[in-house]
Amino acid sequence: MAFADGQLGSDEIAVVEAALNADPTLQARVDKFKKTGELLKSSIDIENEVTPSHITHRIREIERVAIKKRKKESERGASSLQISWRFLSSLGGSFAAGLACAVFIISPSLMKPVEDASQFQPSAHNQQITMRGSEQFERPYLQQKGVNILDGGNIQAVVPFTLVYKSPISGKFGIWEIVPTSESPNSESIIAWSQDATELDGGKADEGVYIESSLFKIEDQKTLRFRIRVSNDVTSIVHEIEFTVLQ
Amino acid sequence: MITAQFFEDIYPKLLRYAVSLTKRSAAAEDLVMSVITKLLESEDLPTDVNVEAYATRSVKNLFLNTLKKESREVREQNADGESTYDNTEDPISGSFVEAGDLNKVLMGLELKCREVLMLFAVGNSYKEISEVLGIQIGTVMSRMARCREHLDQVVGEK
Repeated sequence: MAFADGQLGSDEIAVVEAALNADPTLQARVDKFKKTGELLKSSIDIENEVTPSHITHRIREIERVAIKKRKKESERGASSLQISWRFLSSLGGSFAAGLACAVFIISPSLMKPVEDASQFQPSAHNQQITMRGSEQFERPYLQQKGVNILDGGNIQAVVPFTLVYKSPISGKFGIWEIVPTSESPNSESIIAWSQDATELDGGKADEGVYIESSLFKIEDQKTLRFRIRVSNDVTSIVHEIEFTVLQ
Repeated sequence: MITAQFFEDIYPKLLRYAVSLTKRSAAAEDLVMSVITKLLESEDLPTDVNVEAYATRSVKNLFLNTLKKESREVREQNADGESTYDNTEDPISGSFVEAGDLNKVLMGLELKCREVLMLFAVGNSYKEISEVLGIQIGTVMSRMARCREHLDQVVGEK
């Protein structure tokens, strides 16, 4: 068949030709394959088939939209790199302190990404820290689509969410994403941000902290784990919460 | 980066191949356009691939996924007693494409024969066919020989 279809090299052709000379009955088999090969190729004149114009237009439109989408995603990517955030996110984030609507916005440029957790060691001039859980939630949690998701729950990828920590604080607080590495299962190598509570609400965050991100896009990860640490010279409290990411 | 022009050039080949899978021109067109959309939007296509073979293989993969999904839906409908639709073996058969007699003969063959013969008819070498189907070149040759003999037999009977 390969001989009939012209798909043999010169050495192989010579071998087949020798076999054909020695056994004339093989020629009938070659002829049969030649016939079906020609039949197949002649029935479909692929070289002269032209893509219909309505398909051409659709393909070009798809390309135009794809280019636009890539450009937009590229701009988002560049923006997230500036703040060292693991997620491809546009961190139009805000911190809001106080349940009594003392809400304020902090721009990404004011957030302070840090790479060294040691700066959260208690220091002498921080105030006494007081922390208590809210009536309903003792621990930090997430809100997504208006639903409260407690530690251990499921969150959806791409859908924006809010990290809520209802607790009066003083001193410093920091929020990390925990990214296990081969060296350390609890590595804090990727930092969300840190902030001194004294910079919130004129020096004191009485009621709690809301970390709100308008657009998080979680990439290829199955879990999302946060560590929230609040500390002053007397107390250091660490919360860890983990969620399963549903793609 | 793959361009629209590239897909405009290979569209007839992709469509022919898709028709050999679906037997329906409308379903084939949908398959091909879905693959083109996916590949034009893709940013992480491997740089060392034969894109035409990759696109053709994507058509096959999408076809199989669609088939699985449809079979599952049919089973679920049957389980609910809402449908007596019973064509799970080839749920998208039933209407031949508008084409010549040989095409009609081809569409009457089993799927493995239809696809290998169509890939050959649109000008692919054995090696290219093996790349598209993800099978050894020897398997391509043995399958094609069997299908060509079958084709010869069917054509001879007509």
